[in-house]
Amino acid sequence: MSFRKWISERINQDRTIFLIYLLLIAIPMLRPIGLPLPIEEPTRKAYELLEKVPKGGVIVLVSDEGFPSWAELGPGEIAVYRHAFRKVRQDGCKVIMLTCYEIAGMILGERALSYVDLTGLKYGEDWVQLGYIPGYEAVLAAMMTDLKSIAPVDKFGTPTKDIPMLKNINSIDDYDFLYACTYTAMDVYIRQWGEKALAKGVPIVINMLSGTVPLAMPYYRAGTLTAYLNSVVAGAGYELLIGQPGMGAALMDAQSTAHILAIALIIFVQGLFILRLMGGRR
Amino acid sequence: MSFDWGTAAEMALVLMAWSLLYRDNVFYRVAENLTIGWFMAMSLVIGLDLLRTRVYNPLFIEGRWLSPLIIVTILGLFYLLRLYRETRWLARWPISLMAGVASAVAVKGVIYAQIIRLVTMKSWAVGGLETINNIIIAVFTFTGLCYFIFTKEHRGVLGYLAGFGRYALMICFGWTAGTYLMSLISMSVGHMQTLMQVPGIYVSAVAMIILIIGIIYDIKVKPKI
Repeated sequence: MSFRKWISERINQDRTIFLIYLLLIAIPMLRPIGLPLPIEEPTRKAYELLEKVPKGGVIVLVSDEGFPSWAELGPGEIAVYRHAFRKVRQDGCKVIMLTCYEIAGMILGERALSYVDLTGLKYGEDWVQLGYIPGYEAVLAAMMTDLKSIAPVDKFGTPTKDIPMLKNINSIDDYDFLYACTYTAMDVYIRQWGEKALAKGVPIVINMLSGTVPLAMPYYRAGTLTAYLNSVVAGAGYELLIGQPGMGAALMDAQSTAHILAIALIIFVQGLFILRLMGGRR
Repeated sequence: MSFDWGTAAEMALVLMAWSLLYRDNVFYRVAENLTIGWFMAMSLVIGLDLLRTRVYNPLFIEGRWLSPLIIVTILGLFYLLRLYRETRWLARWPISLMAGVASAVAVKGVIYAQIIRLVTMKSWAVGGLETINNIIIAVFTFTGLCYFIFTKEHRGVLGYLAGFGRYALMICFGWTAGTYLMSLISMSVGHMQTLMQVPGIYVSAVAMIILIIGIIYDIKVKPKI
């Protein structure tokens, strides 16, 4: 029996690749390699924009991620939440949280909030959770002109007109920072926020999956998207910027080794294919 | 410090889902059904809560019968009329309204943010690699659009442009597919971190024992059955 035949009969290729992959991402967790962690320019820009929100400014955090994307978007989401609430403490900023894509976003937004130290902050005066508002794109459009019309009550059923913090906050004229975390199309936020935010000089920052970053690049160049967070890479960078290294930094080694495996497999398979072509076998 | 049963259960479900990588099995099916069931239950609870706070309370507690809310509520109830053959046509009303509103809202935003702003951006020639990038964007956009011209046969200049546009589209699709693969890798990496810490590491150890038993069973027992 030839070696090749023995391999193909005895070893399941899929299982072998999965096993190697799991080992490669498990090892750096147990013994960190310490690969360099670059902070991308858009990540730094997002941090600086949030840092520049004036005293008493209003920060809008839209959590539209889903459960499958949490591992990738979570580090960035937690870091932004921590930074936003640090601004609440330091500069008296106000935070508005809402979800408009699917219910999972609200649950995960609250999960991100659980990483934030809220002691001393008062609900309704420093921050407010509007919960899940069905309607997605229509909600994103309406919140630019009349927030209270789409959110007559907050997550807990309190009428928004009775919430002290929201007395003078209702439209893009009152916002100072727009942030969204999404695991679907990011252009929805651009087309509903872009024009008005650009006119008022309000920055738009979107935390997105690395798969959607290429789609965001034209908007970033055109200035309708002020900055973006490129999944866990940006999450890790943002953690360093706020001085609170967390899950993102720890994930980077494992992610890098997994990417190296993916590239090695692509080169291996393509190389094998080319060798077969050269040998005249298809 | 007490044992974190919540994380342990979460990690057990993750490993049960991953067990499909070995082969289809009862653990995977339990995890699949539990996840779907839990999410449906959660959606139902939050959906009912939304109806209570946004519909029931304003209409029945506050008595705001003469507000636009009543129109929306009635239209929402029209969805349920699909259940009866005689009234099924009425369910098209809210669907049509939703589709119309969604299209109108989207188109309104598209014109400025996704068309005008992109073609009028001032930073076309900023120097170095940026300029090359901008030229690539312009060429790919133009030739990609040429590919979708179906009112004229793709011959001559248009044929060359459409042919190039086809390659431009394939490059973009390939890039997007590749980055999505990287996204999927990131998702599993996130779970692996929790699996390598207490209590996930205990769950991993139990899963490893079950996997070894499964492999031995497959090699020694199953072929004889």
